Formats: sequence, structure tokens, C-alpha cells
Amino acid sequence: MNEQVLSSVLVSLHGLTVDFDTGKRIVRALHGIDLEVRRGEALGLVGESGCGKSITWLAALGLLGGRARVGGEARLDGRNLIGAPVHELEQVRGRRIAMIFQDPSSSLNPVHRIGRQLCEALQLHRGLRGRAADAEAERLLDRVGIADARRRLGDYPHELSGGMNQRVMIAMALAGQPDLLVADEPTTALDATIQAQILELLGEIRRESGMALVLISHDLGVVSENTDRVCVMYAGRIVEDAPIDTVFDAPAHPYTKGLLAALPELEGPRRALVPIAGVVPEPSNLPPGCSFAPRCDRRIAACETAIPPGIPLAADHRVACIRA
Amino acid sequence: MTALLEVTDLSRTYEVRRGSWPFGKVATLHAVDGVSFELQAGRTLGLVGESGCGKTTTAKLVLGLVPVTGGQVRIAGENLPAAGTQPWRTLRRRMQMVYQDPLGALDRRLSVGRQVMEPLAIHGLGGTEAERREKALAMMDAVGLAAHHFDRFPHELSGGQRQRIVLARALILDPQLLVCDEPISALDVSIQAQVVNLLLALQQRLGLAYLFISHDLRMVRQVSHEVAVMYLGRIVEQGDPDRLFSAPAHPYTQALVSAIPTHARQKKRRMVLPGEPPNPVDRPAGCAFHPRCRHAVARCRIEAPALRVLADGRRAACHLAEQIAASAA
Repeated sequence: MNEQVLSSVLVSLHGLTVDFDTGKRIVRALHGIDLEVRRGEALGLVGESGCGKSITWLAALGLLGGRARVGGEARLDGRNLIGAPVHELEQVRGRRIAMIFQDPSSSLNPVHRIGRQLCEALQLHRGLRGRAADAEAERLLDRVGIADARRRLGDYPHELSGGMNQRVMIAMALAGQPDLLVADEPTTALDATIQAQILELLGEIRRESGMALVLISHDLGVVSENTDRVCVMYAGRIVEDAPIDTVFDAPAHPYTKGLLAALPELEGPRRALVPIAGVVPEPSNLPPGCSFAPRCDRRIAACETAIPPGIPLAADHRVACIRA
Repeated sequence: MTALLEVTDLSRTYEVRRGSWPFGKVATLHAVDGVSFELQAGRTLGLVGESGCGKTTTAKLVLGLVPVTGGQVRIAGENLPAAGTQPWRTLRRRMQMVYQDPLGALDRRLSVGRQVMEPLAIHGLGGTEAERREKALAMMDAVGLAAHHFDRFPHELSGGQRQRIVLARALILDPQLLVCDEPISALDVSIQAQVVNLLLALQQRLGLAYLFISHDLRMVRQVSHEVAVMYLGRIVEQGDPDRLFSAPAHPYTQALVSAIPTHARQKKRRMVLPGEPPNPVDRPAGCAFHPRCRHAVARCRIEAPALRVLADGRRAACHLAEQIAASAA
């Protein structure tokens, strides 16, 4: 890949926060996310349920709805998207930044044919109509590996399998020729062999189009094979940001280490799993210091009083732990 | 020694109508098709495969929750009595089931302690109310729940804690066999390890046998003494988990292993299987896997391979098993 292309920043998040109004009180779900995605880069976002990996991107695109208050900045090519007027966001959603989700069959409209849904996206993002749209829809379906694309355009989502529907979602995301694709757990609902197919497809498209990819997953393995860099999130914060090899070979944050120790291997001798003690704290009831401190075996008194800042360990390695 | 659980040539078919009523032909769907295995007390058999391959149906057949179409289930040498009869009820005390979604398996309106005590009441065991309460508290302690959880409700607890309640409730009847259907799939990674370690510790202490169903091969290897891989209702490979996963003899096992994303494999070439599992109603002729198999030869399209014992003791249903195992090793 071209160094020059890689080095320029496409999206940067600065101090991104999200507060949810529960009616009784306001709960902070995202505590200031700082993150950069460079052009053509594949970035992984890993964490357990509720850590904020999905809402980070929903917040950046203004998709969280009225209950959420979003603060901080999300800049695309320097322009801040937070608080931007709707017509400006509509230029970005789907066209510059596209998103695909875990459950493809609930993202597709069950009462419209695949072809019509694809053409709608093509008209919206590229102004294509009629024959031109049909031809492009067929090309896209073919591109995402759906055999007999022309006939499939007339199918409804329920006539396709989960893996096929996820391919359709990817085709729809590609309709806008986005600079960044945010894939939120794109393979979690799929079987292992189908997951392998979809991940390979995403990698192929990225190499071909130079599109950047943010892969959100709870599975470190999925992220390791398909991204260059990974951000590990815990309780609404990024706790470690490092190249993928560093995360596996020399993880610095105790949570990252804990995640790796809790995963069994498929090869080599079987070892006892080392679970992380305790549970993830409720967003409404976070400890005063480091959110991970209550579960951490390396904590000291200072961990329980102040929230650790992001400490650079190397040019491309940042960790939010004073004991790292 | 008689095996705790002995399953012989188990099958279950469903009549399905192809096309809309009243048109369309009635076809037979083979959900489970000639499955045989044994499980000794205190051991774990892992059952893996993709959705729709018949893992869960096998589990339900074993417990008598779904009537069998053919074949036999024997518990400690005795035939499984018909479901709903008194002998079956008595036997069910010794075989319990744990499901994937703990919240769905629990009653939201009953306190945790009540739910753990309930099986004792149903089976008329455990003496007085106070004694049952005592037993429930002891069992909750054994699965890592505190006494103050007794009066809480399922929605107040975390996913991992809920799965512990389900385990406590299953174990209070002192069963010998626990059928676990994706017991950790709904849990977060850091919690999965907690529950798996608990299952292993309980097995050590109580001598439980597990039929452990999961799509997560790494977890299955972690807990199992033996593994059976299923494809379209049949066992295609069965044997020691280490050998099976390091040098698969069936191309489907090979593909499943290859599909697991791991950091270690990052540099290795992944083998991506073409296509999707066929509809079990349209089982391909010959070997059911041949349309997706890159090793398939003419014979595979005509003759269905039998599950046969290989030289190293494992069983595989593939004409080319020896070659494939050798190439993987």
C-alpha cells in the first residue's frame, strides 16, 4: 500500500462523549474517545458488550436519536460532524462513511426486493436511475460474490440465507463508494465457514478499492486477521491502541492481557483458562478511578483515585494504565 | 463397563411440505440421521457443527424431549422410557439440560433462590422447606453465587451470574449427565472463561458427564475428552480433540478449523469453503459434503462414505480420510 495514502488522516475523533438521558438521570456511556482512522487503513475496535464500541460510530454519524447527547468532535477530512446540520450529515452517511450491522436480515426491508433496495441506495448516493441503476446493482451483487446476480435482484431478503443477506448489505454499503466502511460485528450472527467467506470478501474489497475499514468485534481473533491496528475498549474508554502484532505479543493493559489469557487456543498444550474476576461495571455506577481497577490484579492505591490518561509507550502504542 | 449414555443409530425425521399448502409435495427432512456415540461417567463429549446440522436435535433426543424416529438411547444400560411417563420423570432427575440463553431459561417472576429450590419440590425431594432452602444455598455457593443473591430476580444479575443460576438449578437434583447446549455463547469473553472453569471444577468434584454442544471449537477442545463433528445430521468425524483439530481427517473438520480466526494463523493461508450447507431436505447424493469439498472425486458423488475407524483410533466418514489426515499433519 502507498505510504503517502496511508499517512493522511480520514476521520479523527477527539474527546467524543455520549450521555444518555434515562429520564431519571443522565448516564455517560462514552467518556472521551480519541481516535484516528487513516485513509485505506483497517482498524479493529474490540471490547465486550456495552463498552461503547458501536455507539462511538453511531454518535459520530448522528444516528443515536434524541435521548443521546453527543459531545466532542468527529472530523471527516477536517470537518466536524457533531452538531452538523442534517443535510450535511446526509452527504456523509452512506456516501463517505457506510455502516453494516450484525444482523443483516433486520437491516434489510423484508417487503421489498433486494434489487429495489439496492437501486434506492444507488439513486440516493450516486443519482443512478432506471437501466443504469439496475446494471450497477447487478454488478455490485456480482462483486460481493452472489451467483446469478440478475435473478437474485428479484428475491426478497427471506429467500436468502444470513450469509447472502450480509453480502447484500455489503453491496448496499459499496453503492455509495464510501471512503470508510464501519462493520459492526458483521459476522457474529453467521456460522464459522460463512464468517470466513464474509471476512475474506471484506479484505478483498478493501485491497481493491482502497477503502478504510473499521471492524467492530468482540472477537480478538476476527480483528487480528483482518486489521492493521486495534483499539481495545473498556467501559466507554479506549484502554489500549496498538498495532495488531503488539497487542498479541506485548499487550500492555491488564485488561488486554486478561482477554488474551481468557481465550483458549486451538493448538498446543491445553492450559487452564485465567478468567478476569468480577464483571464489567454499570455505566451509571463506575468506580472513581480507573474503571478496570476493581477487576485488576495489578492495581495500586493511585488506580482507585484518578482516571489514567493515555500514555504513549511507542509512536504507535498508547495505553491508559499507570502500571503498564 | 456400561457407558452412562449410549446412543445407537439415532435418527429423527420431519415431514415438511415443499411449496405452499395445499400444493407442493411432502418431503422428508432428516434432522438427525444415524448418529451413534457413547459417553462414560465423568467424561465430556463435545458436539460441534454449524447451525442446522442437528446438534440441538441430538441433545433433545438424548433427553427424550423430542421423540425419536429410529434408533436407541440407553442410560446406564437401560432404554430411555417414553417421555411423560413416571419412569422417564425419575430418570430425568439424573439428566439435566443447560441452554444458551439463561434469561430465557429462567422464570423472571421467581426469585433466584426459589428457582434453585423448585426442582426439589417438583420431584418431591429434599425434605422440608427449610432443608430445601439450605440445599439451594449450598448449591448456589458451589456455583459461585452469594447468599444475598437468594432473594434477587434474574434481571438484576449479570449474564454470567444467570448462567450460574441455571447450573445450580440443574445440579441440585444431583444429576449424572448434563446436556449443555451452547452454554457460554451468549456470554462475554471474560465471563466465558469463568463459566468454563466452573464447569470443569464441577465435573472434577461431582463426576458429571457433559454432552457439550458448541460452535466454538477452541472452547470445545478446552473441555472435551472426545469430539464429534456433525454435518447435515450425521457425524462426519469423531475422536480425540487434539488430534482432530491439529490434523483433521474429514475435509469439513478441516474447513471448520481453518475458519477460526486466530492471530497465530494470520500468516497462514486460510481455506475458505465455497457455498453454504445445503438444505437438509435436498441432501446431495453420495457424500453430503461433496459439493463443497475440494478433495471430492468421482466416487464421492455416488457412494456415501460410512463412518469408519482409522488406524489412529478416531472415526471419519470420508473415502479419502487417510490422505487428508496425512496431508494436514
